[in-house]
Amino acid sequence: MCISRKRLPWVLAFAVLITAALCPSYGTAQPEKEGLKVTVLLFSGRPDPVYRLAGSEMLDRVKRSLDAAKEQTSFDKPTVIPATLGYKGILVDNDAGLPGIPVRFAVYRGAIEVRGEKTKFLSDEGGTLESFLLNQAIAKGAIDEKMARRIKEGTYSK
Amino acid sequence: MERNWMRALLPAIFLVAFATGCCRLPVYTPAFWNDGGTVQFNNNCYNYGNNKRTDTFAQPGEASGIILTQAQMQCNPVKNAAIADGLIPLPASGQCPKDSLGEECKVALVVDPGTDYHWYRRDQNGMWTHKPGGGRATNLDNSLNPISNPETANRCGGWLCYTDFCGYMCSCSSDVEGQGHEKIK
Repeated sequence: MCISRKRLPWVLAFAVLITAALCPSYGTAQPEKEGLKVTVLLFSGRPDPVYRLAGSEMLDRVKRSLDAAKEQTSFDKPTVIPATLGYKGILVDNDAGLPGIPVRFAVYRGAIEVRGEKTKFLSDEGGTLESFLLNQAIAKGAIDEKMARRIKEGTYSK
Repeated sequence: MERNWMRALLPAIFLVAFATGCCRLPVYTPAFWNDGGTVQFNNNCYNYGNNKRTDTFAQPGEASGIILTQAQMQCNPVKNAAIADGLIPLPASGQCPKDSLGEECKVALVVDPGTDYHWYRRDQNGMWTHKPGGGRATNLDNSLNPISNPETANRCGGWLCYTDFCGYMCSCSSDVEGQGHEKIK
């Protein structure tokens, strides 16, 4: 079979189109996800601050906090996330599938909600995990200076 | 014979298509939004106010190419962006447009100037409800009181305070949850 020079570009273009159609990831290779995706549930309208928590030291700290947290069998709400305006806690997604860390958990005011086949509630003693994740959001610049100042000064905290 | 059947059904088909496309007042149905997953975390107050699930954390004006900056989190820029999406300012009569098939839903806009915006919607029972961002849809304000008037509702807490009441607008909603008719993105 012989393809003339004139037709060659058309044949190549057709081959690329077919490849793109058959292979959804063609030309859009996603970089591998690193660490945890952390979302600070803060705003109502505009998108919430999001950052990635990576590095063995940081991830070990999260893992240690979760391992040390005691289960709260008497937690009487369906979720730790409140239905109020303003700060509503922190949502952590283990979208990279890191071992030893739940697929999704949320933390708010001393309580951790671990999502799985069966949701369970743990104690975040002294709000240690929540403070750590919130401080990381500020340190990484995910939370802007104005909001960081409000958090630091406790503005509208009630 | 088959053609006669088709002809007989045509008016009914048109009526159903027309009726499902018209504006109706929403019913407070928090379970639709509060799934603790995709719907809850990807639909914000603007989605809820317009009763339209997009799973994109919809932003006023984005469907028309308007991108609001943080500095534009003020009454007029957000209101104008919503107008570009098809919402209309509340007429002087104080009533949203209505016809024999239904009426548009009253929504209210508030802002924490330079920080964020928030929307409430008025449901069929005349009370106001809202969905604070990725949080749960609720009929309560930040003092845990039912909202009969968004102007006097407690809108402060958790380091934010939506101090500025921007006014009311009308949105073409639906009595089917998440199926509002405004073009938001």
